[in-house]
Parts: sequence; structure tokens; C-alpha cells
Amino acid sequence: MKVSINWLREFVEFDESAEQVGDILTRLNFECESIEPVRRYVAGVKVGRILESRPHPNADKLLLAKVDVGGDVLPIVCGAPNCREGLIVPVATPGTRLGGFTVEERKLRGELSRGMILSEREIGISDDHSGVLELDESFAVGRAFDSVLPADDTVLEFEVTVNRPDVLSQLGMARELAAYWNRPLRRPSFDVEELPDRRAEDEMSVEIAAAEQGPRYVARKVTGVTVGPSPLWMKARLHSIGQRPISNVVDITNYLLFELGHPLHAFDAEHVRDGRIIVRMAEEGERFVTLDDRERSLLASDLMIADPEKGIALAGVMGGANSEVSELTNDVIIEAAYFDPPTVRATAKRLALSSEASRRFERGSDPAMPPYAAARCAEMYRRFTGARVLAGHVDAYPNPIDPPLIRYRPGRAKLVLGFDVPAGTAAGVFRALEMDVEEDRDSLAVTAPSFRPDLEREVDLIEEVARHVGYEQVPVAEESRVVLSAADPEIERVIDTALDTMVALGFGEVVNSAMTSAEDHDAFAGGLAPPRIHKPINPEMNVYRASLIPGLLRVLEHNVNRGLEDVFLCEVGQVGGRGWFGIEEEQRVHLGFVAVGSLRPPAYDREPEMLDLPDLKRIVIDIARGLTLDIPERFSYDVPDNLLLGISVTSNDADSRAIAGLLKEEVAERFGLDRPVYVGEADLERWVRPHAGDLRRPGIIGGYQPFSRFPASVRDAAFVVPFAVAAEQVREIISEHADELLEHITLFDLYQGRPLGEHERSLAFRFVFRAEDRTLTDDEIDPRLRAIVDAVQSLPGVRLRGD
Amino acid sequence: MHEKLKGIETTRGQFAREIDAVDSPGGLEQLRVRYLGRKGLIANLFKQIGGLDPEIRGEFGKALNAFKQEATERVERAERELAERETLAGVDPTLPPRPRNQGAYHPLTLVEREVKRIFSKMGFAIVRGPEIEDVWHNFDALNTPHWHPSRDDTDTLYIEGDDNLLLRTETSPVQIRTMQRQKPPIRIVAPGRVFRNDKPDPTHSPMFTQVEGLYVDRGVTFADLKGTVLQFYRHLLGWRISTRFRPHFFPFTEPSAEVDVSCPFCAGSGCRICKQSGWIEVGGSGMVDPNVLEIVDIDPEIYTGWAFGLGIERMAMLLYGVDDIRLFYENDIRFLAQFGGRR
Repeated sequence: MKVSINWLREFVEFDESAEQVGDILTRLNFECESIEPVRRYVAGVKVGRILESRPHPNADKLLLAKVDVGGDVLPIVCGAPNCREGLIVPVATPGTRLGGFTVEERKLRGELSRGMILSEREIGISDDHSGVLELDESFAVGRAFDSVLPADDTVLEFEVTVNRPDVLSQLGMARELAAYWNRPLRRPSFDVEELPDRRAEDEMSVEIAAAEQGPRYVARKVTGVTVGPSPLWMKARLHSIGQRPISNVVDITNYLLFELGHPLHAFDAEHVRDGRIIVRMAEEGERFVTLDDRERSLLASDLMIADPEKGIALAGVMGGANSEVSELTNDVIIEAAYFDPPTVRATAKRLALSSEASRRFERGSDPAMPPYAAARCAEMYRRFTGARVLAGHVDAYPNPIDPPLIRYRPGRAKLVLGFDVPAGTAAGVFRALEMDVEEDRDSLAVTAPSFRPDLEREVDLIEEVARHVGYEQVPVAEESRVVLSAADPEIERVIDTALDTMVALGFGEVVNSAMTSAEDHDAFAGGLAPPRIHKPINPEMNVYRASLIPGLLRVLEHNVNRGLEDVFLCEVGQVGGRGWFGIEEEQRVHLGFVAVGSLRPPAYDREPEMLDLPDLKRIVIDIARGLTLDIPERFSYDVPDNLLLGISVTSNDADSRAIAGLLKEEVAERFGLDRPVYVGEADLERWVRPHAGDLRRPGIIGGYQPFSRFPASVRDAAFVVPFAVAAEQVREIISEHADELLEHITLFDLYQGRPLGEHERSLAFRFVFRAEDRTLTDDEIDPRLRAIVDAVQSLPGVRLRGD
Repeated sequence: MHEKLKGIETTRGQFAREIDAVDSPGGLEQLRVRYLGRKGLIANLFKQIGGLDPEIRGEFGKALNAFKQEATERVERAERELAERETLAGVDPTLPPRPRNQGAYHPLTLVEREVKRIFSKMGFAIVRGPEIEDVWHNFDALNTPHWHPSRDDTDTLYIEGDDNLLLRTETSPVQIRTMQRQKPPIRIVAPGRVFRNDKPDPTHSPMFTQVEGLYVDRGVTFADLKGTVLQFYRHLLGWRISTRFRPHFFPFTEPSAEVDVSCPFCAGSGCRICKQSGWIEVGGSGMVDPNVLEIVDIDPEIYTGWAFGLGIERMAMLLYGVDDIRLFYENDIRFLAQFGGRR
């Protein structure tokens, strides 16, 4: 919403600067977005009359004019096509500054030019540069132009929140300022000079057939309109707030829209059959051609302004082509109405016809305004179009709207605001904002003004008080009372801890959009069912993610393409729909990671250690340990078929909680990755849920177990194991045949190659025996080790190495 | 000085020069034998003791013993030094550190954690809610008028096939979910991602991160809101910060306020970051609208509350000097690595 300082001054007196006005209105809810000076070039400009105009001898498109500027007659070379004898025009005399340059006496193609005849654009009152500005006889030759138009103005632009249609006008903003300064608000005052012998009600009527959607309709009539340019000052004002002047009949309604905030419409009276206006609902499927010459198909929920034969306007949205005011118009019917906001909104939205008028109607215009706005409009038509005004108006208002009566209790205000506002102060604010206030014993009875649809409840009035007393008057509570809050939900710690683990392991955290593409989901795994987004922003964001991995793979691609070798990335975030684990739950928190390259990057004297599956197991175990979950005893190797190999962690009810593994080459390639890619995803919520309550505080991981103070006895044994027997099988058979004296076993060496067979490898285990209460002797250890070795050798093809 | 004592001093000076010049274990051994061997120079001096005047014998013996002990220690030290030199041969302490994969938190996480930490100090519990939300929690229960433009699918992203589901546009529905579950006193802070139908540009992202605070109890006032918000920003941005509350409109609060902080970069005197205004808009807030409390069965005549929300991206952009919001979601490692492993 743009506001002109000069314009505001008509309604409230002030010497404050534009910056101060911007600051005050900002503090009152209307954020000042810009303050721009308006420069008009009027100093040194005089009104002149062209005495003579003839072709320039040396230039086709130039004219030589002689211009009387009151006393002096100046020769001026002019390029405007409309420069002709007899015209009254603005003339910049030598020395006048116009924008970036100064008008000087000079020769143009050999002819002396002592000034410049100006267009509207050169003066700064419109963008019209088609010719010189033609003034009428009311401008006395020789008059200084700065007495016609003020040289300077300042325009401020404000953000207006949707609840305040009343300030979408100069008057509305002035009202806020007047209340703030406690100065009187001067509404435009005028008398309508009416024809004594022609009465509006004799020549037209208004019938409301849809009182709910069209509660009030006021019509006025003027006769003898002459379409022409608007007065200069009006053009200048409209231009300063970003509007394009068109013609007097159009500009006047536009001007009043920005002055009063009330939209008006002008009909060519000749095209309103019998002068009968009917406010009715459209017929379902009714066809109607709007002002923009487009035919619209209407619904029974659209409000129509009609005459007995046809629709003539879409109420509050746009007029009809059939009743538009034109050069030929003689009589005009002025509409000033109040329409039901949701009705206007629905029609404007459906037809995508948003305008300055519909914007005001759909937020709620002032139902009390129509008679005043219509009268002001009629009077302006009289003054600026040469029309005469019929006496009186027609006002159809079957069910007057009563503004709500609201009780305001000062005590309640204190409870909300935290400080006392005396009832008298509050009453002062309300009255300054044009509310009716009656003081009861311990409360105020406040009637909201008709132009404030946002005031309905006591709390709305409390806000008005706070706004005008100033938010800065609200004290700052120094000591908030301490309330013991509820503990954070478990998931909060799970998220933080899982992330801490990943970062400690060398992963970089990323944040991806939760909106991603269905194509990437399909490229990653079959069977994912991410929720689809209706009307996505772009095709790359057409689903809400069901897995974190597709997004992570894209980030991996981005970074690998930039030449990075070792990229370890992780993300914690919500997912929805059917995911990688086949689980379909509305939403859950996942941890995902992707990795390429080496866990320990190469150095000047060291080879890289490329990431592989045993490393992945360590990562999964570390995550679980960080969450103080039981560390998986064994992994499942049954993984989805987009993985070449991998592991999954399952728990009692057999759903996977975490999957990690090596992506199949073809899957990696779909993400532009040409090297081994490891991925992993964990359903943090479900993984943790069976343990809910067991979770200890992060940072306090595990618990104390007494440990033996006696020395350990260590034995090593290596086995030659065929490929067909898995390392885990060997581990298991060892566990089965050991008792509690075997404290620990470690696979400490893995060897493949000569002299072993081609499909064999050597697995060397270290056995650590220890008792809680004594030092073990060889007699105790040897038979136990032998039993283990025998059991391992019972596996097919396994033998003790070195035998 | 007695001539004999001068003899010890001469030998001692000679020893000192020679041992300083020794640069190999072999040379050191020769030196040791020459001075400290059974037939060495020191042994020879000891032999002279018997022939000395009794009056200087004591002094001579004392000096000679001191020299012997000193020589022994110097030889041992030289031995150690030579051995260390051997060990260090070929070792270059100026070699650069070896690389390792450096984990790092995303800058948005760093800021979110800081915000959570501050609110935790002030007694707020951290809660989260679903990103796919229903219309009731996201709009209706938050007193959003049916005509409010934020409900349009030009502003809000809906889930296909279910008009009732959308990607939440604020973290405020978490307020509703909390108040449905729990009655006052309530002090929560809810971080999370939110979604808007905005085309990405340097200052807009269709997904961003909000943190929402809510405090409902008997006697909670606008003054409490101002106090808590001021404390919060002082913790986050430094103690010199002041706050300014400007009226605004949000459907779920009344009165509503936008929150500015005095520019932490120029202390309010005006700079590029605050666009010369001295203030930076950092959040929205207000007193919970009585309609919202009624919807969740909390009597607004008994309880009042405030709500406060801020954008994590905006904070992170300010704190780290990031000038394009899209950098946060591009996840280029050259960007992410700048935030290191700090927490």
C-alpha cells in the first residue's frame, strides 16, 4: 500500500518527516517497506502560449515555435507532434533543472532554442511522453508552475496485514496517525451541488434479490459527462502512488478508491435498462463478458449486478463490457456498495481476477461508506467532467449491519499484557480510532467502527490498546518464573546421539529437501511408495521422501563430480510412506548415510583403507552403542535386492531396523556414481521403541560390571577354512563349545594364498581365558582349548593350521 | 693457585673441548678410555696424590674427584645424545599431519542445537511433530480464517489424493498437538522443517526450519514474552542486544508482534546487514489467541500464553554470513566443511 505524504496532509496536520511517519506506522502494525522521494520538475517552469509553430528548415521532425511565457517570447525548437499554435503549455526556461540535465539556450540544427516545452513525463506526473502537455485556459500565461503543482512529495510503501482492509487508503492511514498523535482527522468535506429538478430516485431503482451476498447498494446518477484528461494534480497523485492516469471518468473512481479505500464503479446509464439495478445471484452457466472483453462462465454462487435483461457487472470483481463508460457516454450511474467478502473472494479467486477493488471487498469494505463515497464521487464528476448531479441517491440496505458491542475489562488487559493500562487511557485510544465508548463501573462498552471487521472480541481491543500505547511500553519481565518442564521425548536424544556418533565417525551431516522426486526413489529401490505432492513446485520435488538415501545419493554425486574422493555423508530426518524396509507408517525419523572412498584416506606414506562391509558393521554397531541399544550379536545378510551385499539388523518382531551395504553397480550408475557406494539407513524411532524407557541419558552409556583382577591366559589357534564355511559359523561353534572361562575371542589374522588351497583361507583366533576368582592353570585351559579346536575341525573341510 | 691444581684445570679444559667435538659412538669410546680408562689421564692424576704436600693433598683430591664425576656424567650424556640422534635420523618433524575424514555438523543443526540449548536452560521441553500434517492442526485449530490466502494451494503444498493432508507450513501445529495432550503449565519449544510453495531463490526456500516456543500458564503476559525473547536473543547473539516488538497480524495470536533485534554487527548504528536500519527482523510472536486455547479445551479466562517462532536459516545466515539460503540444501562439501566438527 502506497501512501503520499502530501495526500496524507489533507486528512491530518503534521510537520513530522516521512521517516517519522514511516516509523510510527511501522510501530502501529504497518511495516514501512520503502520511502521514495517523488521529484517533479516545476521550479523554473512557466505556463506559456504557443504563438506560432512552423517546420524547422533543417530537420523533418522538428518544429520551430514562438512561445509567450508572460512578457518574454522565446524561440523554442520542439519535437512533439502536437506542438501547434494556440496551445497552452508548460515551458522550461533556460536554467531549469530537469532530472539529469539543465535546460540551456542552444542552437539545434542551426536554430536558436531558448527553452523546452514539456511532456507529462518530463515534469514527472505520468509516463506519457507522446507529446507536450496541453493545458486549459484556466492556466494563466506567465504563471510559475510550482504554484500549480507541489515540487516535492514522498511516497511510503507499507505492508498491510490481511486483517486490516481499513488502512488500504490514504484516509485509513491518516486515521491511524491522527489517533497516534491525538490530532483531529479531517475527512474530505464537501457539498454536492445537485440539480434542483431531477431526482435520482425518479430515474432509477435498486432491488436487492440476494441480501446476504449483496447487503448494501447505493447508486447515484450524473448527467452530461465529458470524457477528457483529469486535472493535473489528480494525475500527479495517481502517478505518485504507482497508478496510471487514464481519463477523468476512470481516474475519479480510482482516486477515491485510494483516498477512501472504497471501490466505486461507473456504468454508462444508457446501457442500464430502465435505470433498474438488480443485485442477484448469477444463473448457473450464465455467460458474461467482462471489461477485459473475455467471456466468463458463471456459477450460481457468483453475485451479479444486473438490469432486468442482463448482467452488467460481476459484483466487486469487474464490470461488464456491455455497460462500460466510453467517449460517447453522457449519463453515468455511480455504484457504491458493500458486498459479502467470501462471495467476492470466491469469484475473484475462481476467475483469477484480482484487482485493487476485489482486494478491498474480499477483506471487508466499510458498509457505512457507500452514501458518502457515492456523493463524493458525484461531486467530483461535477467538478472535473462537467457533469451535473441528480438530487439524492438510491440506497438499498434491507438488513443494516450492526457493528459488534464489545466489553473491555481493564483487569483482563492487565492479565494479557502484564501491566496496567488505566481505563481512561484505553477509552482515549478507542475514541481516537472512532469507536463509541460507554464507561460502565468496571468495564468499557465499546462499539467497533463499521470499517474495522477485525474487531470482534475483547482481546482484539486489548491489542488496539497495546498497539497505540506502544509495545515498547509493555515491561520486560526480568525474571520469568521457573517451571520444571517435562522431560524431552526420547526421540530428541536419539536424534542428537545418532548424529553425534556419525560425526565422530567422520561423516558430514547434510540437510536435504524432504521434497524429492519419484524418479529418484524408483532409481534407488523398487517398491518405495512416497506420498505424492499435489501441484509440486517442480518435477524434482513431486514426492515427500520415503527414504533418505535417494537425496543423499544426489549430494554424493554432486560432491564426487567436484573431484572429491572420500565422501562420507549422513542425514537425520523425517520420512513417510512405504520405505526401503517395506514398513508403511505415516511418518518416522530415519538416519541415513552414504559413503565412497576410504575410511582412512591415503597420506604421503600410507595407502588408503577402502571402506568395506566389516567397516560398515562397525559403523552400525557404533550407532547402536551410541543409542545404548544392545549391540547386535549377529547380523542378517538378507538384504533388499538393490544391494550387492549388506547387513540388516532385526529385532524381536522381525522388522528390519537398519540396513547397510554395497549398492549394486547399476543402481549407483543411475546416480552418476562409477565406484563402490555404501549406503545405510536406520529407522531410529522403531529401532529404539522396543527399548523405550531403557535408554539412558546420552553421555552416560552402558553400566558397571565387576571385572576380574586375575591375569588372563592367552592362546592362539589358526584354522584353514574353506570358502563354503562362513567366519560366523566358526565363531558360533566356538561359542557353543566354550564355557564362562573363555572371556573373549578375536579374529586376529586372515590369510589367503599359498600354501593354502585356492578356495581356502586361514582364520587365526585369539582366545582369552580368565577366571573371576583365581589365576588359571594350564591344566584348566588346555582341555578347554582342545574341545574348541576339535569342535571347529568337525566343520566340513576345516583343519587346524600347522598340523 | 697451586701448580698441581692448575694441572687438573688444564686437563679439565681439554676434556671439555674434546667431548664437545665428539660426533660418533667410536670417538666417544676413545675419549672415554683416554680420560676415564684404567690407565687414563684421570687415573694418572690420582696417582700423583701420594707425592703431594699434605696441605694441598685434600684440596687436590676434592678437585680431582669432582672432575672425574663430571667427566663420567658428560660421557653418559653424550652417549644418550648420540643414541637419540641415531633414532631421529631420517625423521622429519615438519611433515604435515595425515588426513582423516573429518565429521561435521550441518550449520542448521549447529544453530538449532544452540537454540534448543538456550530454551532448555530456560525450562522448555523440546517436542517434535509430523511434517505431513492435517488441515485441522495446521490451519483450523490455529484460528486461520477459511479465506486466508495461506490455505491456497498456491501457498501450501498438499498431499495428492487427500485434501486433508499437507506439508506443514509452520511448526505451530506442534503447539496444538502438545496442548491436546497436556494441560498447563506448558513450556515447549518445537524445532522442525516446514514447507511453502515458494520458488527457490537467494532468500526463499520451499523447505526451511522453524523453531516455535509456547508458554501457557496462569498469569502469563506479554511482559513475560518480551522478557523471555530478550533473554533468548541475548544468549544467542550477545549481551548488548536489545529487542523491539512491532504490531503485526498472525491468526493464532492476539496481540501479535514481529520481533526485531538491534543489529549485532553494528550495535544498532546502521550497516549493510541491517540495511542501515539498525534493526533486524528475527521472528514472530504474540499472545495465544483465546480461540486457539478454547479449541484445545484450555479456558482462556484462566490461562494465558505466548507463542514465539523464529527461522533457523535466517539466524544461520546472520551468524555465519551466508548470503544465499540455497547453499544450505546444496550440501556442497566445500560449504559444509567450513563449519568443521564444532557443536
